[in-house]
Amino acid sequence: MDDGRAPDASIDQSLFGDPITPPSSLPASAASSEVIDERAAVEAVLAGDRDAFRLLVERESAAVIRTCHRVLGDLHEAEDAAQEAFVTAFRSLAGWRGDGPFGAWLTRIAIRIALRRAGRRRDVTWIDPLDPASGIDLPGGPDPAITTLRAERAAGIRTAVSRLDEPYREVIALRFFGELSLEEIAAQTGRPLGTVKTHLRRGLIRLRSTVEGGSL
Amino acid sequence: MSALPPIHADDEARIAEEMSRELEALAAQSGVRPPAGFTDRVMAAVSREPLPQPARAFGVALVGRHLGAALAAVRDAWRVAVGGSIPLGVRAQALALVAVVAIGSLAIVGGATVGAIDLLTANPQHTPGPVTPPPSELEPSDSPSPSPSPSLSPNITPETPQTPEATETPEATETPGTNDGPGTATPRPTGTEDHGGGSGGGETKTPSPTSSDDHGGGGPSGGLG
Repeated sequence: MDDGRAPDASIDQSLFGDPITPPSSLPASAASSEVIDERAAVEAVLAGDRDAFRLLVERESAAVIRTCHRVLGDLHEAEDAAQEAFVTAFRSLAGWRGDGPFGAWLTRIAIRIALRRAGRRRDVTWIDPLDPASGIDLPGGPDPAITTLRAERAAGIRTAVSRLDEPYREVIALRFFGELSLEEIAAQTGRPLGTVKTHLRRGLIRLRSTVEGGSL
Repeated sequence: MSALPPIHADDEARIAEEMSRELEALAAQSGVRPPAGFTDRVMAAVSREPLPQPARAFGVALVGRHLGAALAAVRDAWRVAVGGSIPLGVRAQALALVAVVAIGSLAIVGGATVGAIDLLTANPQHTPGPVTPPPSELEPSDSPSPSPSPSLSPNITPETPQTPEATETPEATETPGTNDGPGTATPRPTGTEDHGGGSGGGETKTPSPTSSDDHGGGGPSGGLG
């Protein structure tokens, strides 16, 4: 699949920049103190203090639910997926190496769970114009036709992402749904940064082909 | 998908960029926030899960001398060892902890049981038992060897070392001699009385060995002085 070509430099600025503000864009001191707090909380949990996990849940719950909602498109299902992600992270807490942000590690777990749920369920387009979470904000009020088109388009993209082959699916989901930087994706997946860039570019092209081809 | 025209290399950058923007717009729409009580819900679910690293929690509980936490860690270790979706390394540690605790418990219970049985059953009877058998077995082994020697040898050799006893017999013979005086008077009556009235004499106990001696050599020796 890989032909070894490096990603086109012309799209590096747009694709491989930081279009979405990642959680790791905090000041260095704040980020390092957060990592220390996370590590102390994880150490406490591993030593038998379950309540120390509450700090991690309170800190990461918004990002995890948001990530799951981007993949699934449904708030209630996103909450269930987020809860499952936290429980899975608790079970596997000894596997966190601590060499990166806890949130990035947790986001990867949440992305996997959400993608698995999205792959299992039927194709459903959720349209709720009154739901502010849907982000539909049209001048002059919601137009049912436009609302339907947008919602169908969003659902089509989500489904297309969930049906991509690995490793493209994971890289695209981590980048655009999980708001991870390319460096964080490389660290979490254990792949070189150049390989991650290649996977991202090819994944986008495959995704476009899938969406435009109407094979959903 | 097969109906789509092939994508040229020059179009790849443009297509990727367009798709990237569309995904960004989709992600920006999601402005959800965690509902109230979400953290409590997660913590309630977590409380039903075993500890992620029970072996470590067990060590911490032992150091802190929290027996309840240690027991809970052992219980969690069992759940981790037999449960699914747990990393293999953590499961191996949990299984090792369960094995060590089980072996240690069996050793303690077994040792306590053996000690209790020893205390209950062997305390009143075994104290004379183990002491007496070795001497009792040694004494018979020693006694047969000397016993035949006195029983068999008295006819010939062992009598010679018992000569001191035989020397006491002349004392008995001296008693009459002291009354009548040394010399001739003693041999005459004693020689005859020793033969026949040895049993009837005042010195009845000593004559039993001496009577035999007096028979063999007592007459002539005693008589001749």
